[in-house]
Amino acid sequence: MSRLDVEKLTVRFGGLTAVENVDASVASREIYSIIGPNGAGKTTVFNAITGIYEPTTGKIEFGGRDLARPFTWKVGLAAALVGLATGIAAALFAVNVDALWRATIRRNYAGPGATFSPSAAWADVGNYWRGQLALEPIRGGRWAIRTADARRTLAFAPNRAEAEKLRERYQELIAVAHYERKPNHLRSTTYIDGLVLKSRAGKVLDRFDTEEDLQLALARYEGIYRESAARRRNAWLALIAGIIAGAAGTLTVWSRARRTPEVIARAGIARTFQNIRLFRNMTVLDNVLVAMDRQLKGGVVRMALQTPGIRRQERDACSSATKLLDFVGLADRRHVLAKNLPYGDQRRLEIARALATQPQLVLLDEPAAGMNPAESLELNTLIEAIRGRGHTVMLIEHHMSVVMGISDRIAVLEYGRKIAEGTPEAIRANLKVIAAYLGSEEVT
Amino acid sequence: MNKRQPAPRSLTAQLDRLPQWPLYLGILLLYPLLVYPEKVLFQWTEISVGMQLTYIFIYAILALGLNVVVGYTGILHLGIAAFFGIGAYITGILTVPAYPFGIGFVGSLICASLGAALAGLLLGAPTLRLRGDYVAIVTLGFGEVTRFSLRNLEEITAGMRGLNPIPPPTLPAFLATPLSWLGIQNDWALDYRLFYYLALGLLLVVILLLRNLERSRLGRAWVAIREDELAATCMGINAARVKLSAFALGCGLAGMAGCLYATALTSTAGPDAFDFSRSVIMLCCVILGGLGSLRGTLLGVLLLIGFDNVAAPALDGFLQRANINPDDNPWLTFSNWKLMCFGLALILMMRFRPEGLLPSRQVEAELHSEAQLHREGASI
Amino acid sequence: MTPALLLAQTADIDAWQAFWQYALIGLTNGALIALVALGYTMVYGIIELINFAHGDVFMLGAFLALTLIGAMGLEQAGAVQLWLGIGLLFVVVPLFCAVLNVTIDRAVYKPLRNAPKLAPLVSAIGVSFVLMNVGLLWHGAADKHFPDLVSRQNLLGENAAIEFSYKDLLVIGMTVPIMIALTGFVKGTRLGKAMRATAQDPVAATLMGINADRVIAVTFAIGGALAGAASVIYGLYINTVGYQMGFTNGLYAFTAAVLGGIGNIPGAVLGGLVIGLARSFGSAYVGERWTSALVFVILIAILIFRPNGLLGARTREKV
Repeated sequence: MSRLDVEKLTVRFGGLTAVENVDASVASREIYSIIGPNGAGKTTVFNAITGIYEPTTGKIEFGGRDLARPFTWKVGLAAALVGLATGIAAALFAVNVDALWRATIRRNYAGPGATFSPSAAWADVGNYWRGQLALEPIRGGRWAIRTADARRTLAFAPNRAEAEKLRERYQELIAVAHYERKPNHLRSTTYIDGLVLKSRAGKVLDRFDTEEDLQLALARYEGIYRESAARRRNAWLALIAGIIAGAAGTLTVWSRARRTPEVIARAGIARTFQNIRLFRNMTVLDNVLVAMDRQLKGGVVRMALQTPGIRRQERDACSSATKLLDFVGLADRRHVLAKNLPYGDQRRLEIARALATQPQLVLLDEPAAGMNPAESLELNTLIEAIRGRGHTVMLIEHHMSVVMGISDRIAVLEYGRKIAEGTPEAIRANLKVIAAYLGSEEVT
Repeated sequence: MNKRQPAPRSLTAQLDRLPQWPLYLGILLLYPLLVYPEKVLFQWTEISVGMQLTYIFIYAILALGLNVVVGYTGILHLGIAAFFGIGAYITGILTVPAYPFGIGFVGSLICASLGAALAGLLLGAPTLRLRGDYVAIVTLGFGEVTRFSLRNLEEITAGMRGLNPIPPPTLPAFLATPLSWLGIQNDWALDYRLFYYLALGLLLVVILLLRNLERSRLGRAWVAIREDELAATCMGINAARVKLSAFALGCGLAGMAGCLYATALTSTAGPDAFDFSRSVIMLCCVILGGLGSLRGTLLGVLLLIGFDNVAAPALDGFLQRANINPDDNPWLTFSNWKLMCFGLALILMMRFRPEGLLPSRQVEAELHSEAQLHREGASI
Repeated sequence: MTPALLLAQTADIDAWQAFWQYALIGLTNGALIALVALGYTMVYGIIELINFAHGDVFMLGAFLALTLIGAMGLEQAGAVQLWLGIGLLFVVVPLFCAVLNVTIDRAVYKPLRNAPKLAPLVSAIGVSFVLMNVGLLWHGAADKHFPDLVSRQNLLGENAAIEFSYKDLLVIGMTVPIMIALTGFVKGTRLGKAMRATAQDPVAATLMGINADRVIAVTFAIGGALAGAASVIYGLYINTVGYQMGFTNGLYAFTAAVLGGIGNIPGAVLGGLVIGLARSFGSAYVGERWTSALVFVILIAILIFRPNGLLGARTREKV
């Protein structure tokens, strides 16, 4: 059964094609090597498999499925929630959160000792939204009638009852002004009687000396109406824009993180790097423990409190990490900082770290680089042992002793294309491969 | 593994190896109870050193929060002051008598920490995936936006004046009597010592929790991301989530410090108390002490905030009393050289001792293991 | 005409007129921001360092200009002397800023060339603080008036609908040629080619015989000179300088560089213009006090959708 299927993989950087139409199919518990001259695109294949690069075209399947994060209802819900939150924040800003605070909190709370009714505050949210005129106490026990956002003061009243009455009158004036100032509107006789403004019930609201004064007053009241209408309109716009922007942003970020290395690693593919990338300032043991992160449980709170369960788990992790280090022969070095290990040990630590993620497939990128013949012979045994533990191994290597000694199958890349694939014997006899390595004039 | 026989040590060497923190903790615990040193220091400097120590504890919490973000995880956070401010203002809004909430100290402490952490989450979630330098500029920008917002939302934050008076915490009744035996008055305004012990206690709790986290799976993941983010993600670490956790935790601690600060000051101070230079001073503390090192961060705070809050004003006071500077020449006021001192401290530290005064466990282990390697090399 | 009628008219006609006026102000300011942003982006392009001190070099340039104007008595000078004096400012101040910038690089950043990335960045913040302190000691903590040497007279005529004064002309007339010259330099000359090569791959460039240190010094010199020129223009245009102007303007300029894609020269210009317009329209239609918040919201929004800025290329980590 095939573990990993790479189909027609192409990776381009700008105009440069690093890998073109490469197919590879790695069977379970196989050792599959990729060889080829430098710059043939071997590491790029690894990077594409492990999600560091996104394939330009082509398909990579692991155990018969695409590893990219699927779109689930959770992603949709998250996008919707973020959108809603952004929208509400934008809308709050658009209605002027500062004035809203004044309308709901300050106006409903006189100071220490006074009572505060949340329901009244909530009602004032509605009043603010509708643009209802507000009453504010001022010095000397008097009251001011102001617009909801307190930017304009319309009138003063000596006491609360009087203020309520005035507010009602101004409220009606605003309604009348809004009605009368509609574009192409013929002046109604219900509300305007000569130079007098009346309510629908016929009550006199205001009298004027000249027509001009009347028009000015209407314009002023209409202005107040328009301001609150504009606030509502802006709030709706901000809400919608915020929802769209927030949801689109979440989805954009999500789509960029669909096939990240961590998704691949969690699915069971681990790797080492050509230029060793250990956590240099951490100890050997910690390097392995980091890779075991996925197997450890427990939330922040339990970790902060170091509950007995967490401690037990930590001890178990340490002992299994030590076993793994023993496997690669580094157990007695486990408290040394990674960067202080000799080169060959660093390579072996990288392998141990990769194995610690409990992968099904291990990608080894030039594990024998910089090793002497004796060391690379040891490496052969180690790789065989890794396979013996049940892992599938994919290998990039230049040391032919390693490649030819342990590989089940070998693929040869040149200039980003696969030129041959087969058993070590077949590859050794392949003319194209010989040409690629030694150079030949009769290459077709 | 093979165990080596520990080399025999002399008595002094063994004394050196004893942990020193109980000594420092003892001094800090006893200092306010022995009234005499405070009096002497006050006569010298005209500054209540005990009160300033309280602020140092608070800033230490702030710096420890920043250390989680910058030191462990390696995210350059240039806007920590904003979260400090958010914590202070949440406390202000929830406790001042001008507003109807009045939930008291404990509630506001929780709300301030959670609120600042939430703000950190909201900022971090979309931006922590960006390149490191971009994150630096985004946090810096957020710091400025927060400061301007605090200034502009005058109805809520009282603009430049800040919210006040913030009521002091209430002491549980059963503590009043034992405290009176120690000679501590149950009045937060008159006796600095109540707040001193409160801040010290919270600081100790924070240190303890951070030590635990440092040694847990999460702490390892933070450091792994600092060391090599790509390799960490290839090992299955969800970098975005781990970075976000560090960011939120750091910001939450900053919010907690903000709550303490506002309560100690009985006012949120103005928005300008939470500007960029506050962020940079905290960054200086962390870097001076040693990135990623708890002890180092504490030392850094003690040195720099001590300098800023105690030494600099004391020196200014001396200069004034000595009448060296009768016509108020700005060149002769010590506080006018403060920026220069912080700037030079940063430059020189980076040049000559980038690992800080008290480097972290990892760097320490490095020196240790190098010696060990030499020994091993010699024995082969 | 009745006030009411006047009101109606202004509402209809002036909306667009005002819009274009704000656009013009935005572009002028944006050009100025772009000039400072270029210094950030060029240095970042070559040594991947956010040169926090750049804004403060800009500030010290403005302070030097202020001192020079006082020393030369330009405020009382006649027209010819005035223009000669201003010309002199445009020589001396950029030169001073270039030398200052190169000195900072040599003294502070150069020893840290191979250190982890955080080290030079933190040093840059340190230098910024030191320079800010120098500014504070030089001209004091309060904002200062920068002499209003260039006329505010509207070039389009007294009653023209849109105001475009000598000041606006000065900004556009200085920034556009500088940007064109810079582009020509980077694209056309050997040194410019060496700069681009070093930006792409410093090691390979050194192997090809390029003196990387010299290229870096030239970059700092050009960045400093641009900041110096910008500082004089800023002083003459805005007329208020203070020791914190380096921080605020540096922040906008750096945001512009990030917005356009840091390391990318046309990107810095584009970013500067976007921010200039955002500030101008923001103060007109959202409210003066919310402009800086608006700029950063725009920054974050753009970075979410384009993580490498508007014109930035995707960077790929070498594995």
